[in-house]
Amino acid sequence: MSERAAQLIEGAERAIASAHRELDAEDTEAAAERACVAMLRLAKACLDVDGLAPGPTQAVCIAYGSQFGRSGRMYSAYHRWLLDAADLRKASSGDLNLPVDLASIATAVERAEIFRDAVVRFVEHNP
Amino acid sequence: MTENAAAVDMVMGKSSIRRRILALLIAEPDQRLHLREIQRRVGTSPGTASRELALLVAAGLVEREAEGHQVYFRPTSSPFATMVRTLLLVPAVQAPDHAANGVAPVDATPEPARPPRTIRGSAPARTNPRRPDALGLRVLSRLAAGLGPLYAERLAGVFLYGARARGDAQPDADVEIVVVLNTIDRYGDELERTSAAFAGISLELGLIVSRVFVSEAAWQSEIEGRLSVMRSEAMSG
Repeated sequence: MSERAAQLIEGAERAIASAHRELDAEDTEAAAERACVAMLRLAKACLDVDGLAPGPTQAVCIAYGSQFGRSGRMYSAYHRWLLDAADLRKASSGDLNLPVDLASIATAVERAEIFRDAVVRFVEHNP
Repeated sequence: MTENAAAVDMVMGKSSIRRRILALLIAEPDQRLHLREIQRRVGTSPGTASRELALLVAAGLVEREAEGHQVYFRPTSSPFATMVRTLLLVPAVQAPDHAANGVAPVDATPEPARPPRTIRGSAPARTNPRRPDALGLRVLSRLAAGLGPLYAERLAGVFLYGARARGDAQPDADVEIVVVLNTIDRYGDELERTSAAFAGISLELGLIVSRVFVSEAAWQSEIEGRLSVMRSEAMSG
């Protein structure tokens, strides 16, 4: 595992922990934002294996889809979860005022945890 | 309702200028606009604007106020005008037919954009027409075809908004979609239902195709804030 991938995974861990705290505080906007950040950092860790380091959210999602969305190297649902997390973050932002419930965000956080476990396995087997 | 039947026919008739004038006035209910401004913002001739305004005044949807040499117009506050306002909350860039069969692949080849069916919001200025881009419209059409059978009667509309609806999108801009449902029980369920469709198109195009779900009540009633901006973008194309 590269140093960068390790840092990204650690960062994702922190984001997941923070998302749990925000869920406990019933702050949907902050929790959705942290869940999305976790997914993005994990996607970046995967892309690091391929020598790619996109920055903006849009570039990360597109690059992850290109490299892993249909390749079979990672479970294809992770790509969907990544996009869903980004859309959930947008929906949860205060200026939209959409009816995003805590349970939906809790699901996103659970998915980030599942993705984290898969990414750890992936980067360990693809140093 | 009987006495309003003729007015309904008139408002929902084929005159896009009439609709645009009414939409313009309804979009700014607290302001009165004079003939010249209406004519300029709708992008028509003074004669046409005057003729269509006279019809709207006769239908009781718009009131006319003379002040000196100026004549101003504003929407009336009658219950019928309120109902028409609701009727006009149909976007310019709404997908053409969400019940169409099958899901066709999106052709990413650029083609000349077509003018939007502007119904609500300020009409595009003649010198700077805003038109939704062709790719955005094709994605919209395809998604609507898929979402129609998925949601059936729950689906109130599928709209394009943002830069691609405004017509000022960069080539790699996201395709931003609003899905309006009559009710939303659990937001995550709607994401899950549509996840494969949106991810599939995103993969196919190498772009982000994002969506938000909005209840029909919120879509129709919100008069300020980001959702209102989103709606006006979608409607003005």
